[in-house]
Amino acid sequence: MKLLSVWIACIALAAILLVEIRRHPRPAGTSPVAAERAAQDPRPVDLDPSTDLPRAALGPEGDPTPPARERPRLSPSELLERLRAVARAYAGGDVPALEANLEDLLRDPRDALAVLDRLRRGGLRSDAEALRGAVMTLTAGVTLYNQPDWSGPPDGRAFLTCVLDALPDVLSPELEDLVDGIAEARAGDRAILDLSWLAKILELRAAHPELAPTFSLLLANVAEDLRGTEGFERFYALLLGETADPMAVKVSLAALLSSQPEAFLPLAEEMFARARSDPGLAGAITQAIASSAPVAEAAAALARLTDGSQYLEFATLGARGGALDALQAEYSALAAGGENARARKMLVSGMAAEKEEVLLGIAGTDPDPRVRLQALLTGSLGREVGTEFLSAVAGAYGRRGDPANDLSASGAVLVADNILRASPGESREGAKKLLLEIAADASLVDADRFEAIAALRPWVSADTFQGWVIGGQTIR
Amino acid sequence: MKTVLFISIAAVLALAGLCPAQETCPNTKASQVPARIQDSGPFKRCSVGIAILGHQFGIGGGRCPMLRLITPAHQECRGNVNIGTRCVYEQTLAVRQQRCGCMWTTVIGTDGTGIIEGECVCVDAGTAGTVEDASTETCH
Repeated sequence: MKLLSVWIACIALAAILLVEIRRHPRPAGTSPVAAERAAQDPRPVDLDPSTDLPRAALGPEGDPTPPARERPRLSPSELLERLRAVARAYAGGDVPALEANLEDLLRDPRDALAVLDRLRRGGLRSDAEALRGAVMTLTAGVTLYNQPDWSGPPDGRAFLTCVLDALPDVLSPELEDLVDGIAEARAGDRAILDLSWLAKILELRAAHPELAPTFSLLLANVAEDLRGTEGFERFYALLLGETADPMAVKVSLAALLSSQPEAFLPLAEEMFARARSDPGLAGAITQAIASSAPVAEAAAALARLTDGSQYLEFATLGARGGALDALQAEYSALAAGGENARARKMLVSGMAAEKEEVLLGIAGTDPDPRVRLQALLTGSLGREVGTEFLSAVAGAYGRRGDPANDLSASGAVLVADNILRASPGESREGAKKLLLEIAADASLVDADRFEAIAALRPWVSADTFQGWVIGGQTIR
Repeated sequence: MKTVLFISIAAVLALAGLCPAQETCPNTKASQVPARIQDSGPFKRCSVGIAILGHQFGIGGGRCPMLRLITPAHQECRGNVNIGTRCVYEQTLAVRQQRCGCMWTTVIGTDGTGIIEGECVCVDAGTAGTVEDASTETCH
């Protein structure tokens, strides 16, 4: 009896293995190690001379899947009609039609590659609808064939390699559309074009320097989920080779700053000093620091580098875990010495998650009016404030003219506008009252009064300003 | 005569001491900084959710940031040389923040289901901060 049970279990296991082998056939002569290496280092695929299509993309033996055999390949005219139908279905929001036409185009990988072939040869330029459908079909193909549970053919990596290799022959603006679609294609939560594609993207950029800025867009998600020193050398090589391409610098520097900040933060600051005349490059460097350097070092570095306009960088930094403490510490250090008001202003701009009383404290004590205004703007942007906050704003505005702790009329309008947008109830009513006071004050400059009226308009009745004249202009 | 000369010189020196020395002209001008629109992630894609050959994923649609910052064109003092002028800061301009999200449109297909996610829509959230705006004035 026991022997029989073992025998039945073996038969069952063999049957399961047989089914699995049939479901996931391995190319002849390909070991798992070789397959993994190939996956890490994509290379150009062979072209099948009989079809002019990449054979490797079709699967182990260049054969389509059984479902493809059930239906003959699409004729050229059918292919075009399906592409147009995809574009029409997408534009019209007809999801079932979109799915049906994409299935027809992607069921047989030879049809999908034929779409690529048509796009590469510019054969669709005269047919705008088919052109849009082709870009959409290829993006869908890259996404479908690279889903984690896709068993192929085609092999997802091989298909994506084909598409990438064809990019230099695709004309603008469909090139940019296709690049954008591929860069953003996802399998679950992960970008399909991940770190394992870095070498391929660099190879493309090197081979086609005239298209390097476009191909750089493919790097957008390459460094996503970068861990440890993975890919370190390749990013270092990218940084050394591409010191003028903002996207390449941003991606490589971000990766290097997260893995070896002590080595690359000084380099980043030096690069920034040299890039001052190139806003795009300078921004790429500060964004890399904000997103990837350790928060304390990032706060200190950005405080040193800022010219008072890096709001995105400080917002990015402020949203990172532990950054609030780093921003506070850096602000306190500068405030204690009365140094660098611009840096203090920017550090405060990153404190969106800070408590209201802390921001009110800064607004009440910082010696620089720009920093005080920033504290009130940070405290009121996109978050509800209490009446105490509004009282502080009105009080500071009431002290205008006192350089130690006042708030200008233009500043008060900006803060009150933020409060109107984000704070319902009593605070909103108080903000309206303050803005009406400013709008009606003939002692103020006309520009501030007009700004107050502009902020109030969505929140008051149409006849509120009936008969008002400011600077000789009747308010309508 | 010597006394008169001495008094005259003393008067000139006294006046020189009393009057502030004329400010030297820095010979600088304001530099134009173009307007800037910056997007911040995490980014979403306002894509159409589809199911093909048993696999569900999204395609198409615009890339959608979490927030967008709009910095107006302005002028800054960056030390650019211009004889006879100085760069001075004269006002502040607002840096606006927009919050963005995908605007969903539900479309009922022939089989009674089907959801399409349309465009990325950004709405003004208020003022994130200010930038200083400079101008060039003649030295007197």
